[in-house]
Amino acid sequence: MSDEQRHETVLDIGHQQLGEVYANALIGAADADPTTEAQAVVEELQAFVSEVLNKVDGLEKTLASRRVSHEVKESLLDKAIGTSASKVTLNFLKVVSKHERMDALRSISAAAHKQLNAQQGRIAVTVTTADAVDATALENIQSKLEEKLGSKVDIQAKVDPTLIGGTVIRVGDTLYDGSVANRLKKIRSSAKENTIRQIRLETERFTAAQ
Amino acid sequence: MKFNADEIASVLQQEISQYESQVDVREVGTVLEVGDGIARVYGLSGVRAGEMVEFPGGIHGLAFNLEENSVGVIILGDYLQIKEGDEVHALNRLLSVPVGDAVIGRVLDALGNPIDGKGPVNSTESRVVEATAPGIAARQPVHEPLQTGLKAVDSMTPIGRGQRELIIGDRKTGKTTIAIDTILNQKDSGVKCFYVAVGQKDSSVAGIISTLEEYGAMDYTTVIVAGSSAPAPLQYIAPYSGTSMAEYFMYRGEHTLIVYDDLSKQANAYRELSLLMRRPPGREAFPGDVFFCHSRLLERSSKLSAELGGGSLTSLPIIETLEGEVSAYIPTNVISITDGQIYLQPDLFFSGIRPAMNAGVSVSRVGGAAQIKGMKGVAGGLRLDLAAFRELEAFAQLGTDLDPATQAQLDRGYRMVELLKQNQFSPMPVAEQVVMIYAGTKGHLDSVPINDVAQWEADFLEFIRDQKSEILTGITESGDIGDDLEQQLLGAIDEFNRLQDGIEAAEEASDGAAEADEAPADEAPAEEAAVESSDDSGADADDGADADDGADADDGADDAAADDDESNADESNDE
Repeated sequence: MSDEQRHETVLDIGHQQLGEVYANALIGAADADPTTEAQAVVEELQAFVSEVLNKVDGLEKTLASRRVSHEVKESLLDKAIGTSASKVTLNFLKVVSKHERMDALRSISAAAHKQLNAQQGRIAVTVTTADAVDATALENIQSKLEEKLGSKVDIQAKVDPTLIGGTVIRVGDTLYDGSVANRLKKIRSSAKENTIRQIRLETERFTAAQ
Repeated sequence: MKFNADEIASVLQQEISQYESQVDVREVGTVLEVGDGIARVYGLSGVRAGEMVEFPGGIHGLAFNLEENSVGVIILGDYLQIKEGDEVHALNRLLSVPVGDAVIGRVLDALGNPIDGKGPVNSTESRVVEATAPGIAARQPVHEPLQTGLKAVDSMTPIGRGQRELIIGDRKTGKTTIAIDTILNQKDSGVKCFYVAVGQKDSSVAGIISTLEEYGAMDYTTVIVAGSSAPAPLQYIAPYSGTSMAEYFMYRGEHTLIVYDDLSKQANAYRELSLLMRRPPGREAFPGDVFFCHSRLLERSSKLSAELGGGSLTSLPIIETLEGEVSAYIPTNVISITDGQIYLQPDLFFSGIRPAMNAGVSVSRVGGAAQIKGMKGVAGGLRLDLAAFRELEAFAQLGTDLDPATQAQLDRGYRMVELLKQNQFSPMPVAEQVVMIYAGTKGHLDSVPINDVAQWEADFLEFIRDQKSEILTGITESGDIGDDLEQQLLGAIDEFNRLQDGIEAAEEASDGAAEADEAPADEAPAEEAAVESSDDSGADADDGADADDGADADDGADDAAADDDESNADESNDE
């Protein structure tokens, strides 16, 4: 699992469950510690994955490798984020390394995010637009969604130029597609169907005199 | 045909401008894994069991397995177009097929798409593929016959409208032939026929379709094909689609017939799907609900009550056994569901008895209620003759001398077995069947040599059709052989026998004349002599020297020559 995941979901139930177990532990530890908030810890973990692992070549492979001893990995972690990360996060990473589960770190991070949302009653929503949306617009969308859905909303913004325009909002497994691309597709199929139906009903009108 | 581009463009423009766009709401999931006709989808948390889903490219699927983390979907189409990571969305409806008069005469695939190249199916209505069977109050007992045109079936295991009669046997024993002959016999009966080919070779299906076209049966038949190269999901749902199309007519008060050829291959396709979906395998690796798979299909065949229009759907499921093993899993399942079975055996087939029906084991649980009175009257005698014959058959092989009574029963039995043989694609109207079985059971065949029984039958029926057709119309109209008709029939048999004797005498005389001549026997003089002597014998035989009778004898002589040619041709065509 050291390759970048092309899709958010892959058929690896094992890693998914592993992630859930470790995420549970992380959030439990964060809650037990009065000095830290679970939210902060999870965000740190996500930042570690997205900033450090993605940007530094070879770090992920090194941390996941069994040929590197645990002590070396620990010192690596200390050097990398010893000063910038909170104690809980650092300890957590060391524990994961000790159990040789660093290859599942992405699954753990995703699962932690999900669990936190569930714990705090937030619904995960993905908003995809054709062009990048600025922060105020995003806040606007967030407040409107919170009003409609009746609970707090955790927005993840994505950009997909193939939409041409409009917005696609995904709440859980329901997709609200208001994109221009989708509308064009619908117009095309509906116009085609209706025209074909009319041609069949009034064939004489549509065929030229021979 | 030239199309008027301007008109079409204007209609398109109108459609586009009238389009009211709304936000499209759909349930989505992502494909985790795809292959072998199934896909595993992550998401689709609100999908319901059996709901239709759509893949990119317009390929449809059905939600088969609802599991904790994923949904197992069977793909109704080409799974090679689908990739991991594709978006799947739920369509919020059940699978349905086009139904109505537009499907009659067409060749369709399991989803109702035309594959005969004759244009789209312009149907305005559709029905769900998985419909529930009529309840108890909606039915009435089966009481009308569905004539198959096969003497062996219509006399001993009669089929009624609304019955399920299983055709079971090894490979190459003539199962499909019985079904096709039944379809051919529905020509003027108003019964709409459906032939569902599951897992068959495409070449065989093409042959069947061309046979149906040749005999004009495609005017009232629909063929639904899910061949052996079709994906397993399509083979699985093809029988249900066909049944939905037939049910449409049943609920309109019409009579329909459906043939499932064959259900063993559908069970295999269902097993393939279930194993790929990781459903636990049971006996013979079939899933636990393979009985339900067949029972919910066959229960939809019924005879509706008068309040619902009195329509009916008769089904002829076909099951292929391996090495005659009727007690295997699927055969026993389907036998317990259907209202009787026609059991075909390979040893009967290869000894020339075709249809190769084992009358002892075959049964129809509707029985006499599905026969016209005339047939019921003669069929009882037939069954007794054959039962007695079966008991004594063993003695015949011992080669010992038998007492006259036993020998007579054996002889009668041999002749009845000969009588029940029938050529492929030659369904017989029920009146002719009644006449022939009457002649057989009353002993009028006892003097005919066993090998000539078929010829006697052909000649006699031709005689009756040409000259005594009032007997046939009488039986058809009244449904019974009343005393009056019986007398006419006996008279006809006598007349025919005398004519036959006359012809034989003429032939013997001509043979004698040919032998007497030293010169090589010429056809023409021998025939002339035959005509002259038959004229004389015709005049002698009949009470009145009628010119008609003389002409009959001539015709008889010519017919005898022609019939010889015909019977030679028949033998060469016989399989």
